[in-house]
Amino acid sequence: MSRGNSQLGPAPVLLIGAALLVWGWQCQKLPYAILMALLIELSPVSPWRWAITDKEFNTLSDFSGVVFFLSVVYIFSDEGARGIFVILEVLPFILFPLLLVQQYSVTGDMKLSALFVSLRKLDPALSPEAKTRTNITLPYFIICLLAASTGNQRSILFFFMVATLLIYAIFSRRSKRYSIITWLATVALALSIAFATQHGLRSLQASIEASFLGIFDQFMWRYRDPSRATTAIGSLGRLKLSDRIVLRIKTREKLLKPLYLREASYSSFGHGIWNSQQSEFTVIDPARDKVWELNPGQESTGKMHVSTYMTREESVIPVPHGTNVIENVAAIEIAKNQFGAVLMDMREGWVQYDVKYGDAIYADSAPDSNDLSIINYYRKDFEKLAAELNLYSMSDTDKIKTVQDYFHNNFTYSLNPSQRYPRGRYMAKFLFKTKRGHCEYFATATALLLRTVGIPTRYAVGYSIDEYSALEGQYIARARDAHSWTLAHLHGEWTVIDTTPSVWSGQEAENASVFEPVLDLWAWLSYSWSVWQTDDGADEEEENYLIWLLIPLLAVLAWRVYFRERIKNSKQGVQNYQQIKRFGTNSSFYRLVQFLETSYRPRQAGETLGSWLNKLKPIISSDKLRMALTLHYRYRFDPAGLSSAELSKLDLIVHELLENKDLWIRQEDPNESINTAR
Amino acid sequence: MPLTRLLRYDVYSIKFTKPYNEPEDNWDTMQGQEIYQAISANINSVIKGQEHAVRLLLAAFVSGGHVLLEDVPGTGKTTMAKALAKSITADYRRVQFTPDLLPTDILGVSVFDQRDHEFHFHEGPVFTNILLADEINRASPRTQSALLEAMGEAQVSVDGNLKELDELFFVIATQNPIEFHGTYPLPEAQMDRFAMRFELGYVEHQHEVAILSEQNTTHPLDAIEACVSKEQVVILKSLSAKIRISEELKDYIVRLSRATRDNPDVLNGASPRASLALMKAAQALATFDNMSFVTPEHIQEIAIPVLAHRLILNSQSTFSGISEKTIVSDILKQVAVPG
Repeated sequence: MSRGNSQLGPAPVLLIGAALLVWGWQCQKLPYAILMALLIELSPVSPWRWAITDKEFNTLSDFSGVVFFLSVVYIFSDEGARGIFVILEVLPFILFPLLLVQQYSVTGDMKLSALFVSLRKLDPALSPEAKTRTNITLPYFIICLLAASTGNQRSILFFFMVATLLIYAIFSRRSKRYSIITWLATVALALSIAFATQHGLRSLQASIEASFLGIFDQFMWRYRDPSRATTAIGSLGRLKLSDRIVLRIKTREKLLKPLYLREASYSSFGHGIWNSQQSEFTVIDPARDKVWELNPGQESTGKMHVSTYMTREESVIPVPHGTNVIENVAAIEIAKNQFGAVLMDMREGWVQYDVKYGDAIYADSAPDSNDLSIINYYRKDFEKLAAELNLYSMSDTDKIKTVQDYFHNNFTYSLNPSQRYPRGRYMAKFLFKTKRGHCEYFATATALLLRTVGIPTRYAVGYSIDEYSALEGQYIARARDAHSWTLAHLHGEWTVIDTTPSVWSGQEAENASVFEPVLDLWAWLSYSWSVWQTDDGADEEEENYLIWLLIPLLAVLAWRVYFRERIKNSKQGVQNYQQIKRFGTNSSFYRLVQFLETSYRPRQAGETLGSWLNKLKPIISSDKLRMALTLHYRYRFDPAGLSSAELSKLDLIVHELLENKDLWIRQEDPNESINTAR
Repeated sequence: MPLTRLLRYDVYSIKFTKPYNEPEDNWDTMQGQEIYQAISANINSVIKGQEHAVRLLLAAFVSGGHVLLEDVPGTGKTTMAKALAKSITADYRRVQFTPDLLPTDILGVSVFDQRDHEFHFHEGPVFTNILLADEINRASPRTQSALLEAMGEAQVSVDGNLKELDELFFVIATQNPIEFHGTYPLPEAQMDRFAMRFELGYVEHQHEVAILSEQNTTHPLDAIEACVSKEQVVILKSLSAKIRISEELKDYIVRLSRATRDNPDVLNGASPRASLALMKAAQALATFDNMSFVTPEHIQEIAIPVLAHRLILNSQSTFSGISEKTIVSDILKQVAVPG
């Protein structure tokens, strides 16, 4: 084995131990770290070495890889996104066997191809990199520091500890061309830059986090407050909503028109904010196990299975208008308010429930004065518009139809409010000038216009669903499908009125990313995973699915380690030494050999029995021993073998020799005579 | 380095006594040992103190291999070859290799006969039983290679005609160490065709004195006579081929050969032909010891002469002074021997 052509040299003494201790201290694994550091740092003074082959290094490296992969799967399923830190934190554990074996191996390094499978297939004659050897102590050192950084308490001490270790690591490898002063100055400069940078990075991270959280809050995971909805009316700039799938509906009926799933409705509007000040939630007692009846006694005509993502433990859930029963959900508590919002207390993440609903909207309270009020600020504009449309002279049904036609024919949908208007004037501009806007404009304008002509209205928010995913076999709603519409009280019951041009969802979809199919597939896989994992009542199966995951992985490992070697061997046609038939291995002569080896001098690997006995000549002399050896040789190496009589003769001679040792072994100091014999 | 030191074989000189040695039904190898002892005694009467070299020479001779004797001038190489030739009633030729020697000088040449207007082939010295190729490395590689076919396949192709050599065909080549002036190293292919290469070395003090006394008036080479017929040698060869060898020892031979190929100091290891030569020579040694099967000692005894000269070391090892013999002797120590 040729030492010295390693691409990476070994780390300076005690470096790995120090790095392990820093890691153990930072990550609260100090007892393990001390043990590991001792094992590694004792290797230079340890008297024994392990003659491990390159192939065994390959196997060990593969094994570490599989362990790493299993850890990734397990940790991510257990910890979620935080798992990446946990994985980094335990990396020194995972790679420790590899380092330990390297440190105690005869070569002290390993082939680079042990770490990179692609190098193993290369012909060493053609690509010299396949022969490259490397020492993994320095990479392991870096990994230790990385792992330590996951647990660091952001103390300035950590920075200096890391700096000290790094300086120590590179000190022995510094260029001898420059004086030590130059080197120290360079290191000091690098350290100050590093210190300033990490300081700056921290502030940068803080500011980026703050702004991102703002964006997140606003567009992606905004929590629906059942008592208040801030519209984007009057906001400037493009409203881009995420393509992320937030809702899944399984129903046997085919949807002929968009299905509205409401989260909440509101009665009062002012300055861009809808609210329902009198909103009062009443807790519903479950009728049976996992069944909540919102409107007991009402007949349900439809049923659907809804999956939604809850961003907090208690959240309003999207349900169809006219929901009567919510069932098959392990909710802690379900409550409803008089505006039809359903509040569920369960857990964060994907939750699933079945909804039974009827045609009529019973759950909502009867209209009151709030549902007719318009703040004075807008009143003039809407009265003017109502007059233009001659709404005052129409029947209620005609009013609604006229309003719908008016918006439908004269207005366009747009997510890009283009111009800034004086505060509060945007509604007038929308109605008379730009005639373009998004669903919140339309729903608000319709609600207020109908109130002007005496029809009580409410503003509803939720999701409009008309996208069917062939991949998932169910209807889905993305964050960009969030919608708002108007509820009008007509002939004694609430009716859905949506004046937003129906092109809106198509227009939104045009803006979808080209990667949407891929992202959808990923979303579906992660959704299935999380549903499988949190399947209600499946707690006792939690360990089982990991086993199902482990079994194929272990099978692959076994195949790699065991069968592939055999396949390779059979291709080469190499006959294993073990397959050679060895005759006469039960010879009684071995009893003599064992006795002489333990008493005097063990036989060396390349020493024949004859030459070995020759070296013992000063202490032994016996014709019988020669006879026994001759018989033994014939028994072992003559394919003709021994007759049974000769075999028993051999047994007899050996027995005699062992019984009467003093007859053929000279009773003098055996060590001395052997030494002189040499 | 003195030769005797290099040829230090750890052989337990077992004196095999008849009752424990022979299966009762097989006494014909006894004849083999007698033939060997006769030739050996005859040669030893000429060459003093070279018993082991004679044993090796005869092992190659009986196993059908060829021998390359390498040593400094004056150690008795040619004398030994001539003594062997004279001990057997067989045809013997000698070729002194010189730089201007041509292949036709060895193989023979077709000469046009004016009288019957035909070409007649005049056989060269290669058409014999024992050929002494003296100082083989003084000839050019082209002439050296003329022997390749003869040594490898016991046949010669001349003028497009295939000519078989006698069934007993044995080449003893002698050469000076290649560092000497006016020598051409043998090509690797030629080297591989020699079953063994070994040295004679300087004899012991008292043996050298005996040489002086004997050659005071006459040369002992003139005094010896053939003691064995060519037919007896053929019988000895066939007896040697019948010596039994176990699978385990064949495996040991192959492991030795493969170990030379895997050695980092070796550019080109021993060939399968080397393994074959090792087995056959071990069988011959067993015949000489009057045994009907090969023992591990036989293999170890001839491993260095059979394997060492076939190894080509890489330049790094050559310059650091490692020799082929030390590599083989290290391998013999490392590879586990069946016991």
